[in-house]
Amino acid sequence: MPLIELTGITKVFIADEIETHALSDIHLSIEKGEYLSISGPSGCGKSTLLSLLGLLDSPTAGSHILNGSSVEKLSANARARVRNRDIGFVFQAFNLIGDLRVIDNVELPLTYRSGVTKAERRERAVLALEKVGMGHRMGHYPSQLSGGQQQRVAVARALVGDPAILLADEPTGNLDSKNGESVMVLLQELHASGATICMVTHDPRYADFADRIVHMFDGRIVDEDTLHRLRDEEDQRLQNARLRR
Amino acid sequence: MRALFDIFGEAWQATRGSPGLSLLATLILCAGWIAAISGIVMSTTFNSPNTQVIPADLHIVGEVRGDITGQIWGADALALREKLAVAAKARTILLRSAITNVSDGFRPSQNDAVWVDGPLFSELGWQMAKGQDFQASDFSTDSEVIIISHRFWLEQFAGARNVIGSSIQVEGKSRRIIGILPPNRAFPYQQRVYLPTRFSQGAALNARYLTMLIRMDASLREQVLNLVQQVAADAKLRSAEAQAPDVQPNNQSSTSIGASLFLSNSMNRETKFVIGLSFVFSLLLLALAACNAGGLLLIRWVLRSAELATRASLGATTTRLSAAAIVQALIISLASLALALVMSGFLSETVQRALHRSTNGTPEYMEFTLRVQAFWPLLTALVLTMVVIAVPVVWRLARGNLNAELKRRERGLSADYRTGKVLLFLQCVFAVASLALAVMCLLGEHRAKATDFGFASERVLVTTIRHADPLVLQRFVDTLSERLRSERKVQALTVGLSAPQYAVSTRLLMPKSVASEQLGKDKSKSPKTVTIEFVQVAPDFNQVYPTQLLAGSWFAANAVFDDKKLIINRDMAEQWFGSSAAAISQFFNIPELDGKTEKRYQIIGVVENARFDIVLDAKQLVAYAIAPRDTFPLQILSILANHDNPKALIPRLEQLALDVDDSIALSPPLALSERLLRSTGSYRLVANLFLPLGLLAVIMAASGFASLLATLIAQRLRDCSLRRALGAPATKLVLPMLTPLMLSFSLGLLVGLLAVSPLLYQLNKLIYGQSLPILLILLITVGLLLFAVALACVRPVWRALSADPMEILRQI
Repeated sequence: MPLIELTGITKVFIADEIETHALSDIHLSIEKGEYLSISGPSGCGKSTLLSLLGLLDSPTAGSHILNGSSVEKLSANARARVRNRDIGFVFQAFNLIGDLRVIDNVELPLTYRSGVTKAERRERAVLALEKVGMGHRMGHYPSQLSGGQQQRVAVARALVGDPAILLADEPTGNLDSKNGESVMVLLQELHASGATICMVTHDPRYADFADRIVHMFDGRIVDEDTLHRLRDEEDQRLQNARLRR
Repeated sequence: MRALFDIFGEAWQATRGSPGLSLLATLILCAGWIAAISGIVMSTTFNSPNTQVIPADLHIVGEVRGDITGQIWGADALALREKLAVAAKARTILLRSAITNVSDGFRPSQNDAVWVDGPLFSELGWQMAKGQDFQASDFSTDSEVIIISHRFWLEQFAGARNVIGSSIQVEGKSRRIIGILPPNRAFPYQQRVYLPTRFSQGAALNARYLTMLIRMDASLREQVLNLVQQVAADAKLRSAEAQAPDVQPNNQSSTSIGASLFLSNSMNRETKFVIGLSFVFSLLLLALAACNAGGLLLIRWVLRSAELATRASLGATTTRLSAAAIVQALIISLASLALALVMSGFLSETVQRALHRSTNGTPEYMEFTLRVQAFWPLLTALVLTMVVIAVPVVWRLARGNLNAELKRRERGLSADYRTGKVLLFLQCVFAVASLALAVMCLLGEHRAKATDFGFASERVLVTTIRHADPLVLQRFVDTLSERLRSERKVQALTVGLSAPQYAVSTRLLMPKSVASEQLGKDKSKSPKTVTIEFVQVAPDFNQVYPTQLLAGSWFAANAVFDDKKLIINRDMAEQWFGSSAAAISQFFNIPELDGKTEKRYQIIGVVENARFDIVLDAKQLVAYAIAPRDTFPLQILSILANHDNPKALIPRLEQLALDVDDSIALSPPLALSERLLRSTGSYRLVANLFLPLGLLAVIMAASGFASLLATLIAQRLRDCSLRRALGAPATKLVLPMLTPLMLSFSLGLLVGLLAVSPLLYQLNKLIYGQSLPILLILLITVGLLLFAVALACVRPVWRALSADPMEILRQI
């Protein structure tokens, strides 16, 4: 049984009576232990798909199964509880809380989980930080860390709750190439130790780190050949437009 | 439990994370709390007597007549006492309060005294600080003992230890001091000396009014009230029978007698008014402060939107985040409440002193402290404050857009902005209401000061002399005034029945012929509703107080009380007869001071409107008559002397008084203008209390507006820079932001004005006894608010206009 199964998912945003179809008829399944990369041009719906996978948003239509349970119609509070238990997020902008020390940032998901003692929280947070090589910085504040270090802390925070899947939204987007590569290596190591990872990136170099690449174009999942064909068609349309002018 | 601890930790972190904003919200709320605590403390103090000081079952039985409460006519008091003793077996004590002359070894002084015919202090449960209480025998014999208040002991004897057993002179008779009351105890108000007595039928009638205290068991309440009603009905019947034949038949006395808990009914009207208005005012300010603090916290939570979205993405439920917001509201509310409680402690003492000094209707034992009764109002206010602060944030959390906030996208004119506008609207409503009340008080005080006397009041010296024996009083006043007349620079002098300081509030009863003519023209001018100030003067009154004669003539030099001639002021003549000339030779029936008999007066003159001590409004209807020379029901006389420098005359006046009789005291001689200022002390206190509160309301409303504008500008600074880079003029940058805020503010102004106008209309006449122009009050209120808002907006607007487009765009 796949860890995640999306069937016929669509997402429509309505703003000022204008409908924007961000996702159309998405079918996707992610197996446990898989390392998946979602790639595509800007505005194709990658991040929207990741938000749906992470239960940050709910689909307009379609079915979303996570760990065998349907989650598309859960209330906001129930979705939050599922997020806390099964999903770990790594954001492009790290989203660490500036007022909290590194260790407190990493502990944060566990404070929202009932039945975890303070000592246990601390122990798990230290382990997560050591796992990403940031054990020596746990007393620092995010502003005292480099971008790469902050993203490592963000990864530790995503891992601390022992989630079923790690969702990474352009994890290297705010990093230089050296730090970006280091984060990718970290994700690969985590995958090697059994973590399920779904990463959104528009950089083909980083997409290649994954076992499987899902291509998106105009809110749909397409295979690689179709993607090339659609891109060629678009290039042709642009060329014709230039010639007419 | 752990979750609660975590929630508290998050809330504390949020509070600590932005110390400036949290401190500002706390201080603003603290100001609101100080106002609310003052209002709640005053209200609970006055409405729930301290049973440690006044027993809960102690009731006052008294007449309710206009602004006189808690007193009963002597004969009725005796009749009621007999009935209560027989039918209800209730214990009663009668009290007569009067100002009396006290002397012995020190300069004679006028002091508030109480004659009691029962064990008052043991009924109250007060132990003497020194000496002993009255004995039963003191009330049955003509005992010559006296108990003095602690303050009197300190002031007159400098706290001397050997005062018990020594003697003082009261109205020329020696009295032996047997006890000193504990500190801050006096009854019913600020009386200083207490004398035992026995009220017989004749003495009670002479005493005019008595206060009856009754220890009433709850089970006897109905029975006692029935007896009270019986006596009231008898009194009313006598009053109707006593009326003159040509009085309007339906013009019945409005007198009634009722029983009520002592304190709530013993406050005079002006004190009750101060308390009620303060309570309303204080709650308005707390609501305003809560809206303001709510707006500030909302801004803080908007700034934290990305952090909150991150927390939500990590599994924090909306409930959990809302709980943190509510706890933060609790932290700020409690912190501000604690701070306010500390500050109120200092303030309450000042207010208490001021209130005691300004209104003689405030009992000395009254202490403005937080008592058990204040717990529920404070808790209710705390919960409401928390709700006002937390609701906007919780509302925002429930409607937040996680995706947008995680990406730190601009939210444009978001829900926060709309919530902020709602808070701004509410702030404006509350600010208008509270500021309008403050403006009304200030304007009233200004008008009271500015109203023309009609002559140079600072040149008139006034003193009042009182004595229980009318003959002694008359002799003293005659001798003193004769000697004063011979003094150099005393240009004129007059003696009157406390004229012009004492103006008797009475009903205007018109002859049938006049009344029917008037009622034919305008039914709303029912004689029943008319109150005039009745001033009894000497024939030479106009020499000291030269009001202009408009028609007819002044009293003849040899005019006497029995002539029953009347001079009225211009407004009274114009209102009731159309013109000054038309009033001459008309008749009025005016009730005597006892309210039971009436006398018919003929109008002989009309004078210009003028202002007296307690006639604050020159337009008040005033009637002058000759004071009686033989009987003085109030045992009060005033001397008015016209002098270039009245203060220079004071030492000589006091020396002359001592030479004439060293047991009779003068009230502190004052210039009439100064005396007027003192007589309006309670009004000035209201104005002085409300001025800072009104200013606070303006500051809060202005800061609320400015903070919302500043947030809006901060959120749209990039937008502003882009527009600036594209060449937008200043007006195009600021107006789009200002206009919606101004709309909210204007709507708040409108609703606030509509809400407060009826209140102003009702309170208008109460506060200074004069009609203030409501439109002017509202215009001043709106003007002040707009000015303050414009001033507060200068900085944020300047920030928007002076932003360097290149710098801002580079940061993006």
